[in-house]
Amino acid sequence: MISIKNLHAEVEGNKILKGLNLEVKAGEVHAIMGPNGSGKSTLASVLAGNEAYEVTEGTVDFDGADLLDLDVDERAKEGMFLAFQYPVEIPGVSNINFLKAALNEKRAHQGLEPIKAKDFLALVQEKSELVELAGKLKNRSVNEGFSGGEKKRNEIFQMAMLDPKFAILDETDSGLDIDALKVVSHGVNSMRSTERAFLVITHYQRLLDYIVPDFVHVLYNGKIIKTGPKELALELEEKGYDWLIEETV
Amino acid sequence: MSVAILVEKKEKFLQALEANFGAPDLLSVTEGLDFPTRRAEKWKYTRVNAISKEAWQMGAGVLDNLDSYNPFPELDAVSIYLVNGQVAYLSEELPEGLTIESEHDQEGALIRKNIFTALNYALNPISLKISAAKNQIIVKPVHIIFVNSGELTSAQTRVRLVAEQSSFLHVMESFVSADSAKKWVSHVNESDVQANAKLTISKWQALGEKGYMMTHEFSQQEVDSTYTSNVVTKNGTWTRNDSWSDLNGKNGECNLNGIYQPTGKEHVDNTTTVDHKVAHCESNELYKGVIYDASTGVFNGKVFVRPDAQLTNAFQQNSNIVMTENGTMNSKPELEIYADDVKCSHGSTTGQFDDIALFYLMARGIARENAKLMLVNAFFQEVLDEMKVKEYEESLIVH
Repeated sequence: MISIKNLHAEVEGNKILKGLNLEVKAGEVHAIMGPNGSGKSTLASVLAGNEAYEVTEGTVDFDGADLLDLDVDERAKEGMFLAFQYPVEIPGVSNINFLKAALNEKRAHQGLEPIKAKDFLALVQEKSELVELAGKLKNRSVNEGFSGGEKKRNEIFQMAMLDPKFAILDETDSGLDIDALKVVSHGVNSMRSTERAFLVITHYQRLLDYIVPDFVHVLYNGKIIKTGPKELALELEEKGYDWLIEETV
Repeated sequence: MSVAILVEKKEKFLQALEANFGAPDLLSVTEGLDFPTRRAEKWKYTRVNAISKEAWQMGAGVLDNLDSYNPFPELDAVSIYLVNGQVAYLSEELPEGLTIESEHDQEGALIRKNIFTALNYALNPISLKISAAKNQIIVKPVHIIFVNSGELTSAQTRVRLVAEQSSFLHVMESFVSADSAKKWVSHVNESDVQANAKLTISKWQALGEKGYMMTHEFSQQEVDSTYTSNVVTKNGTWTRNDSWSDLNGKNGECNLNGIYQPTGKEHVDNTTTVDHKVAHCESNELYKGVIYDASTGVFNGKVFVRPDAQLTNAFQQNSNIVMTENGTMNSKPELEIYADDVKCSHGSTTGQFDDIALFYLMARGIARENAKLMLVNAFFQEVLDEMKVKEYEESLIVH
């Protein structure tokens, strides 16, 4: 699905990623954990194509395409999705109209006709139920006036609508109460399939009780310093990161 | 420039107009009035040199295929066409209560005079007067299409509007060019909004390349009346819109809305004055612009709240997005308040394009240009909601 090799990236002259390697296959769920400032969100931004970050070295192969050569929207059209850590409020842009535009651009890219209004509404109905997103939120401006939990549910709703093959969840659990966390996790779990892969970036082990990963990676100082099974997350929760960092040094 | 050169320049300008328009002694008409310079507060960011240096002439009053110049052919309206300032077509059947007539009038009606409004009267003594009779709701808008053509032509036009007591009238004015010759359009509106009447003027400015457009809007409002002015500057090399709104009767409401989106080296200036003279009135101003390329936008907004105008609500907002490093926006909202029990606010924001919002939309698969369009549409939507002119929305919001 995605193969990241020796990835180096910087923002405003600060080197953040320093030779990151990661291989994610279809059907897998990978969790990335690590202390603050280790480069977790930078990795998400770089993969999605945020221009504030500059890739200085390395390659990313996305199902045969040179990901780093694609514009932000092309990555999405090829099946990448980023659930934002801080979803952006966009007054005046309707949540639903924007999703319809996004969906139709993706369909055009795949050589499909625009979705029929009736089918679109049915899809909206089905996917919003999945994350228990109230009707009034769907029709409002993108994220405007949404609570923190509503914003995150809206991210998962958009993911479900766009049906990506590779989804990155950037600290989707941060700040969520337990009910919202369950709803969001349910949304994600219902989308797990052999054709889809997830990269779950999180600060807290708790999320991984709900979205159970196949692999846990520890990111530190711009590199992955340890990879293990899901139990690694529990070990990190208990012992912190210091023992790993010492081991590496 | 020395005084002598200024005088010489004005004389040369007027002599050409006198000869080309067959106008009377313009020197005496404009006595004591000079071209504004950038030393004048309201002209700090806008130069008139491109107009004052030319020898303007009158254009021909006929043109074939008038319909083809209508920017809103689907609009169900009472249509009037003016070609180079002269009436070329007028709907014959008018709704009950609506009167449209040509009127010889005197500049005495003009309360605030400057060199351009004085010339407007002198060069064209005939106003188009549109009136809605007492208690008449004129459902169809009146749509005046001003078509302009010919090198160095100038149309000096004037539309006077009277909304009699408890009437409703919507007049749309569309300014278009038939060619890309340099032209100067100077247009005056004088509106008399009587008790409990509602009058809306909606302007569509699309003179395009080498179009120089100047408007003066004067409104007088009586008790319980509503006056709304909508201006969309679609394109045009140089545009200056001056409006003066007097709230003379209690419970009056004055709404001024503007949208501009200059590209290339275009220049758009909206200068407004709202004068709250009496108590219990409300004014709302909302102007939004997107400044592309190396273009320039100007907003000068002044609200006076006179000593008698207690319990005034006055709101003024100007928001801008400057898309490039070469674009310029000059925004100056001002309140001058002499009453003590009032609610007034003014605000001005000018910023770059929101790159984070752009990234968010693109990350969902929306191509860059479409995402930008979506954000610009969203930015203008608030003003379009105020204007409530479906045709403007359809023309500006491209999906």
